[in-house]
Amino acid sequence: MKMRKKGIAMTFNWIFAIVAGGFILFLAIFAAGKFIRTSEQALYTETAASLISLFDPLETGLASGKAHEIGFKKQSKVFFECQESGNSGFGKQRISFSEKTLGDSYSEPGGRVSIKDKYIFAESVVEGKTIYVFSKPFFMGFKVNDLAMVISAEDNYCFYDASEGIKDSLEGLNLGNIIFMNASSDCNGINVCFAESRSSVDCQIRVDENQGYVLNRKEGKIVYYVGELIYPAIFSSPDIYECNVKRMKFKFDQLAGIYLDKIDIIEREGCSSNVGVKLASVLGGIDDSRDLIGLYERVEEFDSINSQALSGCQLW
Amino acid sequence: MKNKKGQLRIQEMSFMLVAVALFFILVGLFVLSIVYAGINEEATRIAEDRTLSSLTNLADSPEFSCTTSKSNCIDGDKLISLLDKTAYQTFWPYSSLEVIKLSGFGKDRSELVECTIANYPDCDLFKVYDKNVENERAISSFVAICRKDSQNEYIYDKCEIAKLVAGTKLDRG
Repeated sequence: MKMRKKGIAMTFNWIFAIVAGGFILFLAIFAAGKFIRTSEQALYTETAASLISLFDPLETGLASGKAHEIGFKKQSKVFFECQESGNSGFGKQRISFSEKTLGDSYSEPGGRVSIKDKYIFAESVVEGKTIYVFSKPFFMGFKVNDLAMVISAEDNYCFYDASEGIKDSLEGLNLGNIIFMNASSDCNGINVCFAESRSSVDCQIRVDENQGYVLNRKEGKIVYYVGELIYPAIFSSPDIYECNVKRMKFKFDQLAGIYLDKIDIIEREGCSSNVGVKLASVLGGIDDSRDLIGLYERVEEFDSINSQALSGCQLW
Repeated sequence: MKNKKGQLRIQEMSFMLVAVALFFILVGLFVLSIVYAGINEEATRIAEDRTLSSLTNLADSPEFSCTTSKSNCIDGDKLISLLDKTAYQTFWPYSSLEVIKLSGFGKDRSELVECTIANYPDCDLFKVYDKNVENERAISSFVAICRKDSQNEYIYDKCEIAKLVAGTKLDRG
């Protein structure tokens, strides 16, 4: 009888210790896991926030373009989103970051960091250990903004039959993964074709410079471009491109407002400008990039009027 | 008697468990407070870095840049038009943004004459916007500011030095 009672007491102690110990251990492991995940997320959010500062030196100012590369310690992914509305009409973009952890899988992306004063054109996910970032100024009469393109160094872009202008413009940036094809060159990657006649190549991206559009065969979408927007049209996802084009049109309208006010200011010093009516007539939103084509023709009209203005009285 | 002794042991163990759990919670809270204080400081550092890096290029942005191809030059005639464009308050990453002309250097803040369309160009301070945040740090950069002026029907760019001042909201106290 005594033996049995002692046996029950021992069993209870053991069960209690195991249950309580297990519970504490579970809590400790859970808390440690949560802590590591949270720290990881915080680090990724910090990285995304720091990435934004790297776009500032890309402001072209008086230059025709700028480029630099960003290297990560591990294979990484940068996620891009674009929101055309909100932020007083300017819209915004959001960037998040994640990198490869143990094994071959990516961890969950960190927090999305907003960027409101830049126009970044990229695929929705850019993956690689090194990424190239380059910029081009965009003019619609006056300078509207800088276009920042982000591409992975791992993706080769094979350009077939590109015009000399595009070749000169991109070669000057020294981007290692943009290859202009000739008889002797070899390229494995995304084929970008400029001529209709090129049928021997499987062109993922086809550019029609006469009509001003880029066909992205992978996504099955056409986007229209004017001027330097050809680069975003080639290197960006069509959705991000269309979103940024609308954001840029809003910025164009704000700048046009500033120039319209400037007409009144410089009139005090004896300057007169005939641009006002034409400039005011192009204000307002656009439905998509196709509207840029008609808009650009009207822009060229008032740009020509401005350049004919009296010396010292030009608005831009 | 043995039953009571058993109950006492259970009670002892329960108290011990509560004490251990409390200890871990306190240690956890302590660690979290240190980690999150670091995050806050890091966020402020990143925001200040952003202000500095973007301010050096701001004068060359389309909203400010001079008509003639001059780098680091602000067009005063555009700047005065920018003052009533409230949409820009959320565009740039600053809590405040202003330009002080040479005439305002060395003056007390209360003595500065704020620019409006009516008194331009006889003024000292272009207040582009101010979000009136409680705790901010200002970073400044020297720029040229030019405007159209005329003499004997000859129209020219009149330039002087100015200071571009941008504020960053500080999260720490």
